[in-house]
Amino acid sequence: MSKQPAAVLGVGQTRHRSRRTDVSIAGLCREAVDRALADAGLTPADVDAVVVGKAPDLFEGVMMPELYLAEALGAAGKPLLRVHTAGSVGGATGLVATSLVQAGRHRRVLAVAFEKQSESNAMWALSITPPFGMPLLAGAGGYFAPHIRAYIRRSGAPAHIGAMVAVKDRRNGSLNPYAHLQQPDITLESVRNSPMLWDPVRYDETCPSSDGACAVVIGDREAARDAQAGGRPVAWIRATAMRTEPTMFSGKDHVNPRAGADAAAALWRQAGITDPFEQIDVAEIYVPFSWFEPMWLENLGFAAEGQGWRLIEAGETEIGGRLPVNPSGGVLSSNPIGASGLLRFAEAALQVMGKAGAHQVPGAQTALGHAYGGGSQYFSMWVVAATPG
Amino acid sequence: MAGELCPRPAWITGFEHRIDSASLGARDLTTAPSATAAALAAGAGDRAPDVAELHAPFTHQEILLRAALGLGDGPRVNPSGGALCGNPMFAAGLARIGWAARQIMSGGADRALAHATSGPALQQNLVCVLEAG
Repeated sequence: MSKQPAAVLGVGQTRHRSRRTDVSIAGLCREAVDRALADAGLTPADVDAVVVGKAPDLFEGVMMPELYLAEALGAAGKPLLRVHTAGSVGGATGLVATSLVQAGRHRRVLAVAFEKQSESNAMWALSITPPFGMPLLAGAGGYFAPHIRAYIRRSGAPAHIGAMVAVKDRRNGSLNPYAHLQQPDITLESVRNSPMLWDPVRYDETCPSSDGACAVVIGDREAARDAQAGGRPVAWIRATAMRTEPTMFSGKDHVNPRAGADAAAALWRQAGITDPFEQIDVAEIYVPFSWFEPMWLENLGFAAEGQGWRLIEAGETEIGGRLPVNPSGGVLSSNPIGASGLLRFAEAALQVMGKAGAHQVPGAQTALGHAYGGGSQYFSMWVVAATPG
Repeated sequence: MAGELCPRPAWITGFEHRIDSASLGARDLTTAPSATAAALAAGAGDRAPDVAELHAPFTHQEILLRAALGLGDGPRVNPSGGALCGNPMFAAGLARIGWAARQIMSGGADRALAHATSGPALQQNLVCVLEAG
């Protein structure tokens, strides 16, 4: 069965902030939806179906929010589908929407993802002790810190690598008007002097808690050609991949999870990419704690195992380097959890559409969007390009 | 493949879902527009089913759904006992599809309709149409 081509027609996101007290959850989503539709030159009537994703309902305490959001998302009278894969959900939402177009089910599908962290307490929502399982300790940072220490021990990476990632991402974020944290003056010294939260993760190496939403319109070939005829660039979806593994099992490698490596291998194969470091122009990778940049560079196959940190030390992941990573500022600059994955996918699309503004990587033709979630359990990714291939 | 695994497979000929507003004041609660729209899109009205499995956790919803789905008096409704006899909430809709498929596979029906709902007062509705070869 052959897939139909699919492309991103429009992208919208909110101004991410600690507290968006000016809007409800519905208003937050609608802000992103309106911007995505305007970007695509479309109206709600042009959308055939809506896919919505967010992190666990426990965060805001609104159970099954997709029901209450039906009208705000413009979904009344249409198919509305909820996706749920923890922190990777934004990516998974984009992939489900893509599959509905690729399968020929719909001509245009709207993907929306959000989180309103000011109405929630994600850290303690993630700190419950699940039955028959390991407690996750104090939030996501407490869970991931031992994996980072394992990475440093295995790779021999010098201690300043994490701080270098934080400086790069926060300075990139200051080029992105939608980014939550605007820190153009951040330095290696200021990061290394910030308080230690979960050794070795310092305060400035940690994602913020953000209110925000992201929306993406995905269309079939005809819809993409219509957009192009109207002078609007599109991002062709060249490959998609999703893989899952249990959070805990004996033999699980938390530093280099099998599901992530398998997803990346399938993604590159589908996109016809044999050397991702050479063939990908820009990557938006889900990095909630600075040290995940070198870890995911290796897991994704951009660098050999234990070597990812060398690309960072050489400045190759800065804008202007050979593989700019998170020119938008990434999760380290904005983290509306449910939306963070879709933001990575959307920012990758903006790069190949040539619409990333001050954080545009010049000449970007092919880009990666990546998300992970749970305890390094769910992996979602796509490759988008300026041409259909 | 289906024919190799099952002597009389239940072929899915229509599978659609729609949602209405969550606001109870914004809709006529004596109807279920999203159920009607899903049935229409799934081709349920092309021919009356022999059997309908309706996800109606409350008795009045079966009456509303019979009208919204245009079932008339012909089809046998909920031979499985329906959600009134067992309602594992998030599995009850898939159970309806399973029971409807079993009616086809066992030769008890040539055409079956399965329905699932979510949200307050039949807000979101899904219709699946199954047929014998």
